Amino acid sequence: MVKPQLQTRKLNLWFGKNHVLHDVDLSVYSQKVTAMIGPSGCGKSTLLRCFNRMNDLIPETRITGDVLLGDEDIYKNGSDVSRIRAAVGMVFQKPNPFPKSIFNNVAYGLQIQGKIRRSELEERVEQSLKAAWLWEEVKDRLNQSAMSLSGGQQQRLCIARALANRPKVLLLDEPTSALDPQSTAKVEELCLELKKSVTILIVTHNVAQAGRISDYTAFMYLGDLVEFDKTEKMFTVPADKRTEAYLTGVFG
Amino acid sequence: MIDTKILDLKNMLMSQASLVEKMVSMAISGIYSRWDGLLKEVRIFEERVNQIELDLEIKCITAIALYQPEARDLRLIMMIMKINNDLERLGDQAVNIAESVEHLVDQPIVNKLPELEEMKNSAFEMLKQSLDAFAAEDVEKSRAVCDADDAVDELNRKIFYRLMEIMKKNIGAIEPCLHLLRIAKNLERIADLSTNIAENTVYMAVGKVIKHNIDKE
Repeated sequence: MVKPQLQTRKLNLWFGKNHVLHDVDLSVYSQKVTAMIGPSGCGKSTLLRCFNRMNDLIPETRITGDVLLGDEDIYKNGSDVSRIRAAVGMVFQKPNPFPKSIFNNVAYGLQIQGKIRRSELEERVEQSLKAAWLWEEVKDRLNQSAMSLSGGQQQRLCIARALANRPKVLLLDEPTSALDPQSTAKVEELCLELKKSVTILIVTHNVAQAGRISDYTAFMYLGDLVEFDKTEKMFTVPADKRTEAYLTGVFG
Repeated sequence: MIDTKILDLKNMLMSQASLVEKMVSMAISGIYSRWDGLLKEVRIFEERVNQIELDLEIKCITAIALYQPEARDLRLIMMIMKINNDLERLGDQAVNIAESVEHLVDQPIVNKLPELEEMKNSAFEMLKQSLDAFAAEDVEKSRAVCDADDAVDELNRKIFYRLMEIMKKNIGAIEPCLHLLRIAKNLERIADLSTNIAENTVYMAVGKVIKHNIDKE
């Protein structure tokens, strides 16, 4: 069996008294796209945010169980959270570029990590923008504000910003729900390209999107990981009645 | 994304088609010059064809589940699925013919049926033409296949009555005649299934239903 890039073992999470995730055992395989689907409030975004410790920012959060990045327990005492977040990049539902130039958006993560030569910085920015399929559209205006870009371009800029840190994993939290169909298609195709070098975990409300781009799908319901399987298996013969009901639109 | 998947399905169907074409060609070649191991060989092909049918069907279902195809994409996948079934049936016809051929060793009656040779050639030609038409999505060629079906039906009728006459006169000829009847029946089915392939090809290419001549009324 292939060793997973990310893994949870008996993961439980509470927000105050609210028990949000129940004994979740999930494996996310290297260089694959894994989609998490499920109705609103099922815990899929919360689970996603466990993988780069974003839930730490929410008061009264309590977590038990393990979350592993490779062999490393990312919740062990003394973990360097910024290093983890560089290795596990994240892109959100709404494009959120910094109010800075296009160049500086991508360069920022590298600059705060320490001294870097200008020439290397420029090279990494170019590589990242190329990897996010944005370079051709912005190479002549790198000093313009990122806010001047379209929504779809801004989202790809956020992907480039995450890629600049050379992450092992990209977490995508409904990355296309604020985009038009063309920009959506572009981001989806980009995912298929990026998985050659990075592991992708995507939360989506769009079941069809999960079908189109993911290798594995996790279905969550009321805080439980109900079913995890190869997407082509789950989308044709799901094992659990609840998965079947969700995929056929009975609820959710 | 879906384009490459459909191309894969189409290629898989084409390789299935060439296996089936080969099966039919082997089986009918035995009518006039039977050779040892014919039935065995046809059965080996049949096993492969059956397995490919199952694999291709699952692939089609999966493509629909994952990509929600619409319009032309949907027609392509659905018709590939139907033609997949037709091809598997065609393989069965080839096995049936090969089985009866085994019983026709040195039977001079075969040569008393001039229509059989014509029927064999016409049915096989319809099959080849329907597969060519599918590969090229050629509507005109597909229609020509459909138009050829009546002639094969007519030959089948003639063979039926001719064999009946022979059997009335000669009880000893009943066994070979029944096998010839079965062969003719299966050739007629090969023509029918080729017609189905052609009809489905027209629907796939232009979305037009030509079954049961409904477009000619």
